Amino acid sequence: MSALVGACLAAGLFFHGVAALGVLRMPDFYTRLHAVSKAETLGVVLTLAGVAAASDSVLTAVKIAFVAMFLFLANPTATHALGRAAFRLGVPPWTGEPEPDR
Amino acid sequence: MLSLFVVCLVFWLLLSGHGDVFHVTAGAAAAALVVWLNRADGTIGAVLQALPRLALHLPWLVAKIVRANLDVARRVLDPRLPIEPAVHRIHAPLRNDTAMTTLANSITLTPGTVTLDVEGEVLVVHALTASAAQELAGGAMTARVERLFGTAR
Repeated sequence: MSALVGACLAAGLFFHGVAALGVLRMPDFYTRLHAVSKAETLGVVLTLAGVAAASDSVLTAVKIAFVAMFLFLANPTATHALGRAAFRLGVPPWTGEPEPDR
Repeated sequence: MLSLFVVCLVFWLLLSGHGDVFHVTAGAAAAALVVWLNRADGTIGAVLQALPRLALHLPWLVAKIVRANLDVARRVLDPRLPIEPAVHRIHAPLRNDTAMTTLANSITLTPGTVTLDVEGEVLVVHALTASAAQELAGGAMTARVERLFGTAR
C-alpha cells in the first residue's frame, strides 16, 4: 500500500513540477494558463489519490473523492474565467515563430 | 425538489459518517433548509438530471486528460519547446446550456485547449499545439457531448 501511495505522490509532484516549469518557459499569458491548468488536473488528482490510498478509512477516501470532483468543476471554471477576461480585454495571443515539431 | 433533498442528505451523511438520530435529524434539517433557500431556482433540477450523464462522460474524459497531459508535459520538458499556440473557433450546435457548459468545461479540462469565450453556438478556443487543435476540429468531443445530451432542448 505504501508503494502505491509513494508512486501516486511522486507522479503528482512530477506533474506539478512540469506545470511550474511550464509557467516559467511559456511565452505569453494564454500558454502559461495552459501550463497552470495542467497541474490542477493530473497533478492534483494523483496527489489526492495518494492521500486517499494512505488513509485507512473508506469514508475519508470518499471525502477526498468529493474534493477531486469539486476540482474537476472548479478548475476549468477558474481557467475559463481568467482566459475569457484576457480575451475580452484584448490581450494578444503569442503566435511567434512556430518552432519545428521534432 | 425531493431529489435535491435526497442528494443533500446523502452528501451530509457521507461527510459526517455518523448514523445516529441527532446527526441524521440535523442533516435532514440542513438539507430542507437548502431546498427552501433554492425554491425559486429552476435550474437545479436540470443539473441533477444531468448527473448520471456526466458520470458516463467522466471515464472517457479522464482517459483523454491523461493522454493529453503526457503530451503537454513532453513539450514543456523538450528544450526546443515545440508549441504552436493559436486561437480557433469551433462550431458546436448544442442548443442546451448544460450540454454547452459540459463541452466547454471538457475542452478546458483537457490539457492543450482552453475555452476563452462562447459566441452563440461558436466556442472560442485557445489551443497550445496544432495537434490539440486538429483533434478538437475533428469534433469527437462535440459528437460525444451531443450524444449524451441531444441537440434539441
